[in-house]
Amino acid sequence: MIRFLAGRVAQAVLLLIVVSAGVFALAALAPGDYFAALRSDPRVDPAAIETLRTRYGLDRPVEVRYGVWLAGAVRGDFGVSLAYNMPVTELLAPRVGKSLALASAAWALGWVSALVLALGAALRPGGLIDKLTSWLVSTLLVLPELLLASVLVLVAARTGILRLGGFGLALLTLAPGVVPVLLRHARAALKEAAEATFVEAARARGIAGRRLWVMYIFPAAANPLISLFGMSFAGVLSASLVVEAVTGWPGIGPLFLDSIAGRDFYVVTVVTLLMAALLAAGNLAADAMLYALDPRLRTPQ
Amino acid sequence: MAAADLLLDVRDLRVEYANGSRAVRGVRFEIRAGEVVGLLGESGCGKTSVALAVAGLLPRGARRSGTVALSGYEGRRATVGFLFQEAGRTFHPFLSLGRQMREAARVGASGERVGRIAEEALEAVGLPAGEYAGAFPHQLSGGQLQRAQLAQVLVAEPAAIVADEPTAALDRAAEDQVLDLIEGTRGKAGVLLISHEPELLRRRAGRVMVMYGGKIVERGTAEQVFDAPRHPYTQALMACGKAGKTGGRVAEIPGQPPDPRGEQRGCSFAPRCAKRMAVCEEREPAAVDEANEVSCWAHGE
Repeated sequence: MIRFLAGRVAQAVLLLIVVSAGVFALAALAPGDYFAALRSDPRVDPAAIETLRTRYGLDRPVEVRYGVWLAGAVRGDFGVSLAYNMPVTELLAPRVGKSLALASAAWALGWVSALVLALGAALRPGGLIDKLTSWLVSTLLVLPELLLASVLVLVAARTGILRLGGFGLALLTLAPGVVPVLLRHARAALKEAAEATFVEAARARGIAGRRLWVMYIFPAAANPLISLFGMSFAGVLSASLVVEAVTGWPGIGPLFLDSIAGRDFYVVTVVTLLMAALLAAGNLAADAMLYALDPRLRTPQ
Repeated sequence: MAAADLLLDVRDLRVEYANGSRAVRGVRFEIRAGEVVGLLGESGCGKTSVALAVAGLLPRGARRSGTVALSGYEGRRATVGFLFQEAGRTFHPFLSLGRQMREAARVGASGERVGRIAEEALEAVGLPAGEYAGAFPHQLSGGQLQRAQLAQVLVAEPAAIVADEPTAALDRAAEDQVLDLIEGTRGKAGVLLISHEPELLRRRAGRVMVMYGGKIVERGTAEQVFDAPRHPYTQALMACGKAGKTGGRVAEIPGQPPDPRGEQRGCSFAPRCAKRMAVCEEREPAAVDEANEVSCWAHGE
């Protein structure tokens, strides 16, 4: 178990280093930098811009900048925001909490409703819940998120039921995009598990009712869902970045979009890394759960 | 009129699937205590549908008509034990063999008897609990899995055992071992042994029924059927040695088996029959029943 997990942690660390290098490389390829806008302003002295570029290290080649940044990152220094002139970690800290709160709520809501509805559908195929869920999945999947966001923002502005920039509005906008994807997978996993040969065989041996569901069907359905469980949080978080920007929730979303547009390079890097770290952590947790669940992973042939 | 040792009495069994396929078109047979009855036929002839219908395992949407009467006998319960072809797929991949044996034993027992029954069944098939109870399905060989599946069937003490190609996936040594074990552990239970291999049934079955196009076309003792076949289909099968080498069609008999969805006029074998007469295409020959062992116009009036 420990060797298995240690291997996965090493993989995750390696992944993060590759991602950070990738972000640096992409940024170097993109034209312009944070000072591009200043440069086109005739009132600003080009020499002053060069001084600023030197101060922030932007005049050095990208691989040197990456080395310096990586050395700092290991010690907890992730660079400074050029736009806000403060350390990136300090800038992000309060906003990360807000984003995590929103994404966690949508993620938890999505999983709970997906599992409850999928179970209801699986227990009675062709029943009311089964029909309702398939309608819900097909409707919500084709509903453009930005359209829903615009409608909800309009409702908030006109009626005051939802507060602009409030948690409720952001959650209501984010959740409908999360639920159908999870619901569809949960439904498919339960259906497939309930139709597995070993479930049919267990039924033929007279094993039925709660024992059959709890011992045979749920663990088999959990297998594909656990991988999704691990990946889904990072997915919800990245969806929430856009939703935050649209609905005015003060998380990292609005800041991240501004940083991309303004080439506030270290902010972009750190937010991207944060997403990658959450994805890696989710996958790591999923791997550990699968390891505990599936004996084929821990015992030899 | 049913004799005391009549364990399984099947009359006018018909099976129609949701897609309109009429897989079984009126089958009648009985199995008495201690008997091994063979059911021979090509894939698609309806033999698996007979097996599933007898065991009550037809999929949702399939319609069964006719009667299947089961009786207990000398301490054996009035249930059908079903042996699936692919034993590996009948076990939950996450649960140990001992755990799954106890789950099967719990259906008919409680308390400390559960563990004892499970252990005894494993011992009976040559998988001592001390060594194998902790094993997971992926750690067992194909032959061991089929023996373990037999143990799953035995704990229910069924009066009838239906074995659908139980050794088709095994090599000859494992096949003999499994069939010997069925023979040695079944007590007075009756067995319906389904196979596409005449050789296997010749060695293992007392009586044999030959199935074609959803009907039984010939029945008799194994010697009768295999040494002096009367139905032209059985004769053709014996001439080419095997009813489909890998469960497929009998290439050596010209033509195709009848479409199970089609309406049938006259004898279903007539289009492929070398001894076809005018009447064969007009009217169905008398079905196989107590008085009649061969369903064929060419055979004795």
